[in-house]
Amino acid sequence: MSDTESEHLVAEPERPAGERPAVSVRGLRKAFGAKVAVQGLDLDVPHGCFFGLVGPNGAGKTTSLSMMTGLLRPDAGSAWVKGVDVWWDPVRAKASIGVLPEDLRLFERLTGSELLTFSGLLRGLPSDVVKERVPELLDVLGLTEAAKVMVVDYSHGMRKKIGLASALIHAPTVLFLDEPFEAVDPVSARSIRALLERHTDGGGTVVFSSHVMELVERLCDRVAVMHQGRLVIEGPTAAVRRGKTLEEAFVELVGERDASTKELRWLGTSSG
Amino acid sequence: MARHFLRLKLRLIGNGLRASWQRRLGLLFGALYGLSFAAVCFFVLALPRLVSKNGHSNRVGAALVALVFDAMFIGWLLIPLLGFGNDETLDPIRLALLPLTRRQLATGLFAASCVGVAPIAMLLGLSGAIVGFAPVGPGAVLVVAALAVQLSLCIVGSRFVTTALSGILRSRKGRDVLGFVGVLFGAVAGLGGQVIGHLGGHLRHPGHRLPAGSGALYWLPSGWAARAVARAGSGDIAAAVLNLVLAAAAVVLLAWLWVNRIEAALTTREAGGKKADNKSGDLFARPLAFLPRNRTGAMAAKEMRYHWREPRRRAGLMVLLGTPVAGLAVLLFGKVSDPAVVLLAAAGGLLIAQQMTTNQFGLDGAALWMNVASGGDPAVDLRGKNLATGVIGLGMVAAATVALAAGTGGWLYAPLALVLGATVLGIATAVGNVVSVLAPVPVPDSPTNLWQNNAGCLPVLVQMLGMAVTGLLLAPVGVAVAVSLATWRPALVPAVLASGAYGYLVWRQGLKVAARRIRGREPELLSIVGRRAEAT
Repeated sequence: MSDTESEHLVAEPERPAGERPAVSVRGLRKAFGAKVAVQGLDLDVPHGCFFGLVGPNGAGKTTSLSMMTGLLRPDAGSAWVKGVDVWWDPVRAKASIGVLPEDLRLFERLTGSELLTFSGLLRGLPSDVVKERVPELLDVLGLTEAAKVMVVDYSHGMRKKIGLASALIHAPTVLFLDEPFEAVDPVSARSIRALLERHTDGGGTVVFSSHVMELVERLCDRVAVMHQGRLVIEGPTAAVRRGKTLEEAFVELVGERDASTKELRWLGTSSG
Repeated sequence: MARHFLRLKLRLIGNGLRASWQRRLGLLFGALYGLSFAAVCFFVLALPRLVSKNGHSNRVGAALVALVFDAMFIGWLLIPLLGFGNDETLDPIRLALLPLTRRQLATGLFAASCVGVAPIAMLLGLSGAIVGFAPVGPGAVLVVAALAVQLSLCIVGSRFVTTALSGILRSRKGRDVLGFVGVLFGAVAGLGGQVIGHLGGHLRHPGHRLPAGSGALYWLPSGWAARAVARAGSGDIAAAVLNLVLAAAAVVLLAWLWVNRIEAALTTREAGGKKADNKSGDLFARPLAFLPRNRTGAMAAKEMRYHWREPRRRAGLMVLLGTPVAGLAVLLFGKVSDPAVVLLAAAGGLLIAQQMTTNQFGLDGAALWMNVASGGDPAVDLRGKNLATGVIGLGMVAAATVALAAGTGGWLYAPLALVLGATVLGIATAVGNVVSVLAPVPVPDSPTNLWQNNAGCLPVLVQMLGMAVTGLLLAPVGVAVAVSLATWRPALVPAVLASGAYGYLVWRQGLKVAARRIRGREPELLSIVGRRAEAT
């Protein structure tokens, strides 16, 4: 740990061991030059929860998830996964998490099955366990036929699926998924949903960001809405919706203006 | 329409320049490079008359101008392909949604490609032929016309090839193949330069016999334009006109093909490559079955597969194959008989390690997040990368050793050459590890753009310093071997073995220093190498 890190250490809130959340975040802050991407984020994600992180583009969701998973160092604040400080003891914290970043850059000159083997061994799994899990994951995610194709030749949806398989291979208890359903076809989305639900049913936790409000509304037990780097609201999905659809509640919360009928009156009038 | 395209091109150049100082620097260097290219072309084309009174009318002068014209033409056909995707005005598909006729598109794209450093440099360079060949009288008009035809030939030819191949160029496999073409082109260009030098030296000897196959210079339309210039220079007006008409007809034909191709390029797509090239799909499939099934082995296997599958690294590997070839060349051309020359094979290890280890994390790029997210010790990852370097490097050194030993009969020296090769690899890799963590450089995504990188001043300085340190660390090994060779050769055995132990210790230390530096700073390393390199 570097000196700069210790300056920003925040103690995890005291709780009885049984009540400790799967993910806890306190005072997380990150600025890129003059632009503050995340300003003092506090968040608790209970165990076994399907947790949705929503917000408009540029709200700070990806930056927050990157800081929670040890991929981007925060300027201030701390994040704990199962009580382990991600930045104080990254090796132990990372052992229990699986990550699917939004900008999914993989070692794409490996074939799908090679990439999964690589991920498994990178995670320190014994090679016989890796050998067992790779075909299973490929099968569940419908990638068996593409197992011997280089990832560089995968479609966007297939990349998401192989990325998810890489995130799952070491059986993590907490999954951080940034836009996991983006560009995924409905059939694959269904199998991914089933997979994630099985994960939470077994006591695992999923933290995921998405723009698809219907999906978040249907899947998530709890939702956090971020806007301009701040947490606007966080709580059980029903409480956040307040009797409306999540999309209506979201638009209301972030104060995005509706496209006015006064604007662009010429739209659709061209004869050419 | 041409005006809009010209403005678009100028705006794109202007915006690029405003975007970053790297681009401004890139344009400055591009302009300097273009100017120096123009100056060389001008000089070479002016040479026939400058060197010899009848240089412009002899066969050597004609061959010289044909070679330059052909090189320009081939360059114009190939180089824009390497930069495909970087210049929006080159790819017709980007304009597919605009309601433009074929004719408007063609004139617009042609106008856009007339703007830039390359066409201006070309024009300046070609004007050398006026000095070198233009006679007084109507022949001068023919020379100027032939130059205009050559310029049009290059531009229209390059438009046609880029448009015809745009579908393939957008596919991953097409771009991979192009990476190779780039390397090949570089090699051929070097050879062409040597031939130009050779011909230039014989301009005073009209009877000089041209190399076999020089007739091929006139197979391309650019050769006809060149012959028009040469014949006009020697006063053979009829032959000049004939060749000029032929070259101009080629321009018209290429333009016709291009215009017809634009529409097809806008509406067809190349099928994506979905073919596996590893039949077993196993990371450790042969020939990598010997690697350990752990994190180190996985890293090494990934690296070795990347060396073959990633076009930039594969091109590097091809260059490295030159190590054993160089070994053979030493034998064939050097007329060396001392069997101790086998030890020279070890020197290949330096080249290999420097190329493969100087920017190890930069080559991983944004995909490095997989390592960072998994936790674990970065020293293990480095060890895996070093294992891949060692296996490939030792393989190359072994091949060079065998080649040299077979030629000289110095098999006795072969084991020593291998140990010495491992020593050199170890030392250079140790320094490469440290340089990799001190000065990581993001590598651009485009596999066709093999030479572009975002190296600032500091990484370049660190890399140069690294080379100096490697030299210093290798000095004791060099001295021990040289002294043993000069005094008492049996002493080579302990000298080489001691060097091996020293090389191992240096490698261990380099790994330790690099790992200490990187441990806990993985996110910072990721943010540097994950930065998308800007296209210029």
